[in-house]
Amino acid sequence: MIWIIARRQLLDYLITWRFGLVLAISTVLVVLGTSLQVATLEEQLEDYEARQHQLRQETGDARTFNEVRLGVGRRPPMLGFLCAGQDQQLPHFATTGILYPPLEALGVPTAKDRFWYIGWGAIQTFARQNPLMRGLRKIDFAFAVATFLSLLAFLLSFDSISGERETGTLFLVIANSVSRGAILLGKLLGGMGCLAISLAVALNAALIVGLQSPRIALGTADWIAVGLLFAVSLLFLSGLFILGMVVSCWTDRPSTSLVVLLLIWTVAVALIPNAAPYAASLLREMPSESEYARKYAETSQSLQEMLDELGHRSPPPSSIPMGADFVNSERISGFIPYARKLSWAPREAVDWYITGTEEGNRFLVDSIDEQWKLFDVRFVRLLSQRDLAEWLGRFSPVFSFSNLAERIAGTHPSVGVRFARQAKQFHDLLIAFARQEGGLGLRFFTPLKREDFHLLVDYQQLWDAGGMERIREIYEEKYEKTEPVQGLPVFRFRPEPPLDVALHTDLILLTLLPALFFIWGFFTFIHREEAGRP
Amino acid sequence: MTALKYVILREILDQLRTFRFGVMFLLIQTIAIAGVLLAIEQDRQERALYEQTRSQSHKELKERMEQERGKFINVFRKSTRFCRIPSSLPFVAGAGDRSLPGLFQVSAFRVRGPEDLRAPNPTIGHAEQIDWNFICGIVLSLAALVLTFDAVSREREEKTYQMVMSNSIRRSTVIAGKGLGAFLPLMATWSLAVALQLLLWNLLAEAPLSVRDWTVILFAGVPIALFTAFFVLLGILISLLFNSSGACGTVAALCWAIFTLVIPSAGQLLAFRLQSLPDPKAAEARAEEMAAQARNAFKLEHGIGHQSSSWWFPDPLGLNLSAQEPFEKEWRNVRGKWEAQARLARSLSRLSPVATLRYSLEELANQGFPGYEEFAQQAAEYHREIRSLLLSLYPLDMNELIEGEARKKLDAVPLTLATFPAPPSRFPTTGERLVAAAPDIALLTLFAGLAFVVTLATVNRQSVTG
Repeated sequence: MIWIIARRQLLDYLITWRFGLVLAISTVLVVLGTSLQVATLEEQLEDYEARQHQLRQETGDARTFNEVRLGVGRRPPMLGFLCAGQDQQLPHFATTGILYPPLEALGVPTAKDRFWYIGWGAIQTFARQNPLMRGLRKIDFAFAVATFLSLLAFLLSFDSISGERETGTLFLVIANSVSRGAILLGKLLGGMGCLAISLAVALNAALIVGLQSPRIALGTADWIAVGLLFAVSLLFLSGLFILGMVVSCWTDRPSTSLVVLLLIWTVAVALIPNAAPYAASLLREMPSESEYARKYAETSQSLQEMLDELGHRSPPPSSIPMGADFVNSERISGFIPYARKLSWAPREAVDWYITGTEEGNRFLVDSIDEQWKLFDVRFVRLLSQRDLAEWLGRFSPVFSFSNLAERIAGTHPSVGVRFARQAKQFHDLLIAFARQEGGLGLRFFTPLKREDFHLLVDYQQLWDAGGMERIREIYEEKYEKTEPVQGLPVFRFRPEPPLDVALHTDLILLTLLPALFFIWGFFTFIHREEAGRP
Repeated sequence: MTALKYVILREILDQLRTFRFGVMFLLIQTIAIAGVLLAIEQDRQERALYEQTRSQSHKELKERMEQERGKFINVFRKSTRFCRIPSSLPFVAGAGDRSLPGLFQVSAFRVRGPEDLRAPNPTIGHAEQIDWNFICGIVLSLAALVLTFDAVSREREEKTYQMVMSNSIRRSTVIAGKGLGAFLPLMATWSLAVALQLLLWNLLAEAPLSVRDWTVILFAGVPIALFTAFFVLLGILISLLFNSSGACGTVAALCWAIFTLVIPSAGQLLAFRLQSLPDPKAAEARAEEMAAQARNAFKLEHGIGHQSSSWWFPDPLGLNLSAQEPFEKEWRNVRGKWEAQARLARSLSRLSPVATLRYSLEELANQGFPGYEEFAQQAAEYHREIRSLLLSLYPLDMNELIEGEARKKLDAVPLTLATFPAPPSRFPTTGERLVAAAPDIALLTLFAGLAFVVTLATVNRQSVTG
């Protein structure tokens, strides 16, 4: 009997114009929105690949540890076109080196971007976005489910009981030998079937648009995530449908239940998801961008002062003729025993540099850790705003659904957090590797061995014999024979384990709500006395 | 007229007794109070940030002027931060301000930016502020539809409509009574919400409202009333067109979703597709190339053999001006494209009265995009003022290298904070704001007028049974 009721209900829903209209609107919006998300994802993928390629070209033959630049990246999630989330605002790539913590992973622009393009103030601006259009809602499949299909769930369910009550058919139905539970369950299954069809249409429309792009290719894990997204969306819509039925059970007139449901929808869809982040951003205030710029400048200044102090502490050996052209211009400044690149020099000078560079790198490594901490604290504060917004937002199932959809699609900010943490771990690993390989001393500034450098006496003889040209020739020959730095660690981003996603609070909430609503609706319907129309 | 008064009174009393009016009343008041409390906190934070940035910028400029060497060069070469003054009415249309950049870095050579004073949190999605745009656009419009969607259909279902129409009362009077019977309680509800907001603002906010603000608040009532009237008439029209209240409710809900969500979003989406954006990094690379060419051309033309790689010093001023011109030109182009896209999105969204109301309130309060445009113009103006001061004070030949005596001559130029241009802080007058908002208010009048005419035509041509 349940199946007969369900089938009849499903057919009834499918032939209504409200179903057709909402489905048409949501499909058109999904197609339009997805095409924009696909274009953005393509740009992100292009940027990501271009940066990786550029970095490979630049650092493929780094011969000193100072020259080593490694990329840490996470590919923009392929399902970003179904649920964009906040991923477009979060970093996907960062460059790191011995003295360069991967600050980009925390949303800090590169020195060049900071200085030339966008300044500090636009720390999180994705370069191709229009900063004057940031108020744009991201329209994608998840948005269509959260707004239009949730409205459809209410529009289908508001008169499921009260409509029949008003027309008097409910009394006739329950007068038969059909249990009230069966009626309720049949209607629920019919509604869920209808919602499943509309979901399938919207999802397929989005997938068709997305898969037209040659850059987007879904793997097995992505297809499983698509399936999960469908299931979670259906769970969410079923919850709303049951809520609609509960309200419909309570009221005598469909218009009253519609008014109540529209109010619920306004609060759940429009009010809470907007008010929660807004309130969170005000309640947990962030310092300004110029404040961070000032603090960053202070750490850079203290770094320079420390190097100057090192210079005062360790004057050059009196035997070395200072001012001689044996050091490339990449010293930090003046007579400081700290070299970034050394191609030729007397061995006495090299010894002076080895001691100084080892000492200098010891405190430079600590100092860049301070820089990292400065922005990490900022990142943590941003996340605490997000956490507060999440907790306030969970008063609405729409917020929980959006959160969960982002987690499934891999566009949730937690992915960005994982990336930043792993990027830092990788930087620590790189420093440990450098320390082990002598990359914080001699190999920091030259690939040559200490013995390859001539003693001052021999160096002077070479100078006398052929001048600078001769010296350069000899050392360039030696330099050519050296090998690039080998055995460098490689970064591999480890995404969130699927079990963490599955056991998330939002999923529990989304599962509990329909169950609670159903029990509530069931008891309401069972205990309510129905009367036939006079 | 007596009949109309009677119908209105009866309708008002009917509305006031309904559950739905009570809920809507409470919802509007609650949201309005929450909105203004959050706006007060936002105002406090934004004012503190503005003051901090402005005083920091002032201090830096003063320090540059007190330098013994390179004073002149540093004062004009380095940028001064020019921030947008926080709006005095954040609870009116402050959402637009929050999502827009609020800072330009201005020097004699370039306008850099726009930048954010406090960048939005990237881990949180865009959130609408609970301002008048939100309360009216989302809640008041819904309330108008909720109060009217079954105004006629319900009477038809209960068979009272035929009885009313069989009296010697004009149909238009009945419909006008129903419309005003919903419109007046809604406007009273809204007025109470505004009164509460103003009371709280005056009690708790740091900045009191000026006469100009009060004028804006007064004039803002016009678009809001037109907007509410449109939705009231739309609700009645829907109620006339369908016999079942359920069907009327469904259509009303869909219309509301289309006006509040679909059209504004689709307008922005279409603008993204129709107006392409330049890549700022590519623009910067182009500018770098053009600057290098300009430098070489300048050196060839003036016979300067100096091959300095540094910016400004010791290159002549003329060289620096021509080398910086491509950057300014490229960035002006990038900013122009951004603005064009935002303007197109606004134009396309104007098909919805919700978007039109938003833009009219933004124009009146000089917030959101109109406020940004004014701010960007002021940044350009500030740049021109600094540049003309540089040119007027520059004691050397434009093509002269800044070395030795020339450098000393530059350092000797008297520079004080009093002679340096103050950042512009001009606000549009009330008249200018009204003129700017007039097209949107006219559009809202058109929407409301159209809804009125169609409703009137429908009620007069339709049979009583629907």
